[in-house]
Amino acid sequence: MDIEEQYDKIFRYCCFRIYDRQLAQDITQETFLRFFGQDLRLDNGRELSYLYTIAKNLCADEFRKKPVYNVEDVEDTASGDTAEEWINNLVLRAAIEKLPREEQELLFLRYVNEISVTSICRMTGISRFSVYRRLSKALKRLKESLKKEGFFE
Amino acid sequence: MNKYLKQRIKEVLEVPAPDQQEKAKFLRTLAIPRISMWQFVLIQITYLRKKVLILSGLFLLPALLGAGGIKPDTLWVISALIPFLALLAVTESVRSAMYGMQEFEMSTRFSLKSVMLARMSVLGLLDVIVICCLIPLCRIGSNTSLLQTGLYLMVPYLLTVNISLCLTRWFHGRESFYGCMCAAVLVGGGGWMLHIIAGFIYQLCYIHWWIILSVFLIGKMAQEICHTIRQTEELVWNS
Repeated sequence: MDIEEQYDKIFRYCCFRIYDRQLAQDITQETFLRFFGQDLRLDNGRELSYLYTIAKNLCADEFRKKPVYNVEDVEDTASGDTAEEWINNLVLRAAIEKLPREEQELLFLRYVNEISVTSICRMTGISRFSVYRRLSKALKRLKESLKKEGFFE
Repeated sequence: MNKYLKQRIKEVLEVPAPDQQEKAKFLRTLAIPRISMWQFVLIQITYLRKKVLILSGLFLLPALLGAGGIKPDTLWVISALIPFLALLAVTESVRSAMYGMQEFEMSTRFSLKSVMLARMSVLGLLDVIVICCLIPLCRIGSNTSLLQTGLYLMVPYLLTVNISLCLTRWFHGRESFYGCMCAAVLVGGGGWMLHIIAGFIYQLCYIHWWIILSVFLIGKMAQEICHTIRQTEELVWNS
C-alpha cells in the first residue's frame, strides 16, 4: 500500500463526506494514526477497506458532533478549461447531488479514488454483483437526468 | 458515453490535493509498526493446539521402535498410520470451520485467509519434517529404496489430505470431522489391505506409477487448498 497515495485518497474521501478541508485533513491524519496504532496484518485488499472504514467512522462521528460545514471549501471543483465544460460540470455536479448518498459514494470510490470492486465489496459489505448493479444504476440515472437537462446527448 | 461520463464524474467530484507540506510533515512523524511475516507465523504457532503438535511428533515412536527391533513391516505399519497424521493437520487447519466459528474469525484482527494459510504452512512443514524423519527409519529392515519408502508414505498422506480438504468444504461442524476420520481409516486400512492382497504393486517396476500419482496428488492438494481458502471469502452475504 502506497501511503502517500492513500493519504491523498483518504483526504478526498473525507472531503467528500464532510465538506471541510481542514477537518478532512485532521480526520485523514487520525485515520492513519489509528490504522498504524494497531499491529495489523491484513491482506492487501483488506488494508484498504479497513483504512476507509476508519475514515468513514471518524467522519460519521464528526458529523454527529457538528453537522454544518464550510461547503464553499470544496465547492470550487466544478471548473473546466472552457465555459462550456464549466457549465457541463456544474450540471453534472447538480445531477450527482440528486442521486442517493450511497450511490454518490459508490461513484466517488470507484471513479474518483479508483478503488477496485473487490475492495468496495469489503468496505461496504455488499456482493460484487450488487456493487456492479448499483454503479450501473447510478450511471443510468445520471445519464437520464443529464438528458433531461439537454446535456451529454 | 460511459467512459466520457466516468471521466467527467472524476473531474467534478475530485477535490484539490491536501496541503503537501502538512502531509509530508505528518508522514515523516508517522510510526509504521508492522509485524513481519515471520512474526505473524510465530503468533499463529502459539494458537495451534499443543496436543496436535505432540501427537504429530509421536508418529516417530512406532517407527523408532520398528527400526530398533529391525522389523520388516515397519514401513507398512507407518504407511497405514500416516493418514492420521494428515487427519491431524487438516482438522487443525480448518478448526474454525469445524466449530462453526468461521464467520466470527473473519471479523477479527487478522484475516481468516492469512490465518488459515499460516496454520496450514506450519502444520504442512511439521508433517514434512516428520515424514522426512520417518523415511530413513522405515527403510531400516525393509528392502525398498529411499525413494520408494518416501512414495509409499507420501501417497496415503496426500490422498487423505485431498479427501479431507474436500470433505471439509462439503460438510461442516462435527460431520466434517467424522468424514475426515472415515477417510483416514479407509486410506490407512485400504493401504494395508492392498499390501496384503496386491503386494506386487509395491515392486520397483511400478515405481513410475507411484511417482505420477504423487505428483498428481500434490497438484490436487494445491488446488484443494486454494478452493478451501477461497471458500472462506464466499461467506459475504448479498445485500
